[in-house]
Amino acid sequence: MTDLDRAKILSKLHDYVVAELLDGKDVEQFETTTPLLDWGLLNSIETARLVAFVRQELGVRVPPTDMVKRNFQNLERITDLLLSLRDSSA
Amino acid sequence: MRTPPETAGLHHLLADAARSTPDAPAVHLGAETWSYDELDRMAEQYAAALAATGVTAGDPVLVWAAKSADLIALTQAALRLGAVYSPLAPANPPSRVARIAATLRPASIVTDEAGARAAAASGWPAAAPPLVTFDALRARGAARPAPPWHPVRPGDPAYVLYTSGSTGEPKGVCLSHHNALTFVRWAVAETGLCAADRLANHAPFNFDLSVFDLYGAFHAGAAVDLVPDDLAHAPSALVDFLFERKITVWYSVPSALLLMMRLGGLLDAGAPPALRVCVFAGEPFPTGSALRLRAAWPGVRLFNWYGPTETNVCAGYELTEADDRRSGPLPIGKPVAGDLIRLDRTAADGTGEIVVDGPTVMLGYWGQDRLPPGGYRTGDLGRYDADGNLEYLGRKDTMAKVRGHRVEPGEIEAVLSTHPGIADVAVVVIGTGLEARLHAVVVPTGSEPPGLLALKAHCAASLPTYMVVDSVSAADSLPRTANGKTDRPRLLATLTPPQQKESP
Repeated sequence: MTDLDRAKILSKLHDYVVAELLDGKDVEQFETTTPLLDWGLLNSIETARLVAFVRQELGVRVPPTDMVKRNFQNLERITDLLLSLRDSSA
Repeated sequence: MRTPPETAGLHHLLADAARSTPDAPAVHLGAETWSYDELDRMAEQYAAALAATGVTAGDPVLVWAAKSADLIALTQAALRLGAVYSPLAPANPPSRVARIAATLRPASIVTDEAGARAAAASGWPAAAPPLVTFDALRARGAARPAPPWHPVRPGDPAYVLYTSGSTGEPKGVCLSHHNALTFVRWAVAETGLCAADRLANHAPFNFDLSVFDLYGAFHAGAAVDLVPDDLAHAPSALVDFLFERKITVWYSVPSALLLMMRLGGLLDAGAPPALRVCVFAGEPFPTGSALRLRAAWPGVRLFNWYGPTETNVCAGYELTEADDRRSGPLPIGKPVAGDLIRLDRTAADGTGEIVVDGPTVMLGYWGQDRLPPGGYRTGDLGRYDADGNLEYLGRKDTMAKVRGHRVEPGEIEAVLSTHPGIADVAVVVIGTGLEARLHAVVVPTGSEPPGLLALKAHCAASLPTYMVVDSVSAADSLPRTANGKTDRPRLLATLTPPQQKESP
């Protein structure tokens, strides 16, 4: 995995959520701190799809034990998780 | 330990187990285990603490917290004082907790650290009763002796479970000690629960499924393993939980099992070695999926139970080899626990409203008159099949089940209608099973309707997470029936179902 910095991860995740969960709308209102779970943007199925996307596009595998709510509150938390997983597997 | 009074209270189940098997595990949560003796002592401490804050017999106590041994001990403490507890899961935002508190009028609202932080962040209303954390409450009772138990009568209220209300106000379903005990005794016998069992508790405590997990375990002197709220979004972690923690009895809504089958690999590893009973309730389990489960788990008894919160479980069906050729819906079976079921105003094909009367049926809604004689009208439509088993056919009204959660579109509409950008709104459920989505059709006050994110934020401030709308569309007006109600079938016909997304 190469130069997977925070900005790049956030940008990829942002584009994914806007395209897949918001049908391309509300782009201006969607921020990296927008609550994903509390606002029902991510349910169980969407979380699993996002994790599959992360594995394919960013090459980071999220183990089941990390698929807990606190890691998916918003894009910033997901990015924290992905960076920590990358560091521990490097 | 003091000998409790003779009257049959729900809280005697834990105390009896603590007396006969004090060292047996009662509750597991993550790496921690509490024995019956430990849980019983915690209940005595909380009883002293609640009494110190002025809680007495008949008082409601609201508990808004994530699952924990403290929460369980607190509910048992309330019952020991003759008080009535009402649990609320963390999925409820502070404003809904405050709204419920306004009708429940609790003597005390107990929460955990996360709840206290959420309430502080959103500005807990000054008019609402103050929140107290478990830690602060325990400190109030420290060094005080536990008060004597209140002698409850079987018909006294034990707990109130809040469920979605069609008018916009959540409804408090009030169950007596006798209602709950009658159900628990039947369920323990039906599933053959014994002290060696380890029950998974999947449902939040404000869902009536948890009544079996907790009190069934206490009745049998078995252990209950709490599925942390945090795991709800991790199907493969739920599957790991079932296998690694050697669960013997699993009880959940079908949605949870479907999710574990589809995304968690539930059927890939064969039957969990310890599992002997799997019960599902709360919504229809698609027959094909239930039969796949049966084929993959030949040694596991599978039960389809039925009953709205208002009745406890009032009908049940155990799957057998006779079901392996079934193509129609799974029956909900025959009346249980001494209940009587009749179908009211049956149509020519035998379909009628399911009316339930009997010992497990609630006292009534909190703050309202007691349920009048004649039984509880469920609003569910049913019919008897050729074998005399009851089949569930849907709803008379607009109440819906969305991924296992009971949702009244009216409660969501009431919240959305307070948004300044909305002149009129109707909420409908599009799709079924795991694909079910809450869709809002909005008549905007201006030229542009509020965006989906704005509506989600508005919902999330007042409603539990599972009642936040998933999508929105705009309309110039809503179709009406002749008597002026929203014409939901016509509205639904104008909406295209969401295309099924690729499975991850």
